Amino acid sequence: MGFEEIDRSSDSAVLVKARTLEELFFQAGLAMYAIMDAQILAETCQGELKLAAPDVESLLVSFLSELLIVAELENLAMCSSRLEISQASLHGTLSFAPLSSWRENIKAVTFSEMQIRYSGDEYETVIVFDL
Amino acid sequence: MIDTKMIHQVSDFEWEIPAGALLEMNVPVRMIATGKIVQQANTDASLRQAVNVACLPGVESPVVIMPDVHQGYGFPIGAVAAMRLQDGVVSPGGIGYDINCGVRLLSSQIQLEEARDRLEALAQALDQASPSGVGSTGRFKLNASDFEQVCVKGIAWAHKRGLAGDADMRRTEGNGCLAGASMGAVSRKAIERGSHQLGTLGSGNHFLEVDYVEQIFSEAAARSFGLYLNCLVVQIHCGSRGFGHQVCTDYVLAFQPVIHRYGIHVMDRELVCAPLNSPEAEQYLSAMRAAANFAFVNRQLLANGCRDTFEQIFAGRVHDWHLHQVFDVAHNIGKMETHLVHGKQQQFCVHRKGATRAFGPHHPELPPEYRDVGQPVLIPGSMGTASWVLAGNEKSMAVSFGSACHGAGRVKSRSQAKREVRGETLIRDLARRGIIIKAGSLSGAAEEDPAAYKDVDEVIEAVCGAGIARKVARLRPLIVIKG
Repeated sequence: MGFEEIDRSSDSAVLVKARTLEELFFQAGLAMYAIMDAQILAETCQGELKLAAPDVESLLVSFLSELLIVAELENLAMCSSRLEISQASLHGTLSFAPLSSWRENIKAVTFSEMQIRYSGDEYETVIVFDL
Repeated sequence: MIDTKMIHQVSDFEWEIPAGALLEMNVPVRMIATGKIVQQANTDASLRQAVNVACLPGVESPVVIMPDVHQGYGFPIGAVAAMRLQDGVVSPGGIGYDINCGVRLLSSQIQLEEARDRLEALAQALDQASPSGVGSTGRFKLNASDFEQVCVKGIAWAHKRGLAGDADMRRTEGNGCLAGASMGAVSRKAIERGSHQLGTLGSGNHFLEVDYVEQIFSEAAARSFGLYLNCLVVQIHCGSRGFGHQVCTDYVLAFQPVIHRYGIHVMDRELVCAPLNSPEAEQYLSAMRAAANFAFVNRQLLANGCRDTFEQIFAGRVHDWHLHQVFDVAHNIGKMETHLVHGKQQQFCVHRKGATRAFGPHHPELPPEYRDVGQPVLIPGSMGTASWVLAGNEKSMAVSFGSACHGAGRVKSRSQAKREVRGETLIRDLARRGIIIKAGSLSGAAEEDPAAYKDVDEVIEAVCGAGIARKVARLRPLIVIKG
């Protein structure tokens, strides 16, 4: 369970796997910070998040896009999460920590190749980030 | 990948995937390329992505892909698709997240030999004058009213403030403004992301580069563009920063249910779209135009920083230190344009994703001084390799909806590039070749290893061989500033 980077001629892609949908979202966030080469300090604050979308892939794009904005505007990264996801809506509490630095700017989270699949005992999806 | 039997050679530099290659295709895919580039493009999903674009409703024949094509998301990078207004669509992902990413070229009459002993000082001063890298913020803190004027008026806002000259405006695609921008269509998040980023370069493959004119291929066109052998020029490559990224993100998300509302089937969710005659399309286009105008002003302010720096370094040392605008072109954009198709002048929403407008001579949208020559087409190479200035040909109007390529095109992933070369080594090797690199991060420099890109000279051979543009000048890099 976790994530691994996939080689692509442009942009950047990861394959994320987790036992639950909530864990998949959390791991997707960590994958994004790994691509950003983000250095994250100790937890300092918490925030609530509520999102709704037409489907679970749109929910994941919205979730990661929110994390990108928080990184860019508030210089904070998610370090833990207590999420509940059902029917393509999400709510929960996120813990954040300051970013001491990051080296790679992600322009956006794309839908390209994204398809959240459940097979047997795990969820998985590819996520392509526009760099 | 596409079955190679489906790829037919049409001429020395043109290839086609016919509309029948896939049941859902509405039009063929036309590729401008050498045989080697076609083979290279078919090692990833580039051609399949082009086929997916050819399945969109209301797309005019053909979808065109350029020799710098490489895999993207939804559209491949290096693609042109003209959508009919009456039954076509607009696809935010097909225009891209970095709305109006583009290139500005400034020329000078400073000879390389008289500048050589000042290049290190110039590199340091340009690095300081050009905010770059992740999280960079600009010197311009705009209030809400000014921000709106930037987004609605584009370069005209800078012109009114004395921040852009007449030639800057005239020699920018569309005079530096897409009409019809509206802040009412832009989210609060987009404004927040953009409000501190005007006048910044960003990171990734964006750069500011000082080159010299190494070779001239058309004396008349070079003279018209103000390019002189062995003289310094400046290229600025960047776009609409977080503002444009957020506009596109907002509408790719918002259009996910829109396709179902209009009964549109897309082959890839990143191709979500709305009918051009729908209110959803109108709203997206208003927001996209705001981001495009922001990008024009962004490059203008960076150009002003370069001009100040050239004055600081060269005033009193050379006869003329001024930087004159050659042109400013967008290569991620959607434009309403008129093209002659089936013997009739018709309006299209031309999506250029990693493709440069390349209008031929006599086009009414060109500034008067370029009407006899054609539009300057600016093609930056990879870091440390040549860049090219071309002139658009009339044939581009018939073959590629007035478009050409936009760069060299990646062939290796960023990870692979970083595995194969260290940033320090690359910077040292380039320094030995007389190229000064100022990079915000060493790994970022490694990602832009020239070996990660196609040979730009081969890309140019294909474009010129196909007759859509012709060579004017080749530029050789001296200084590269990267985020």
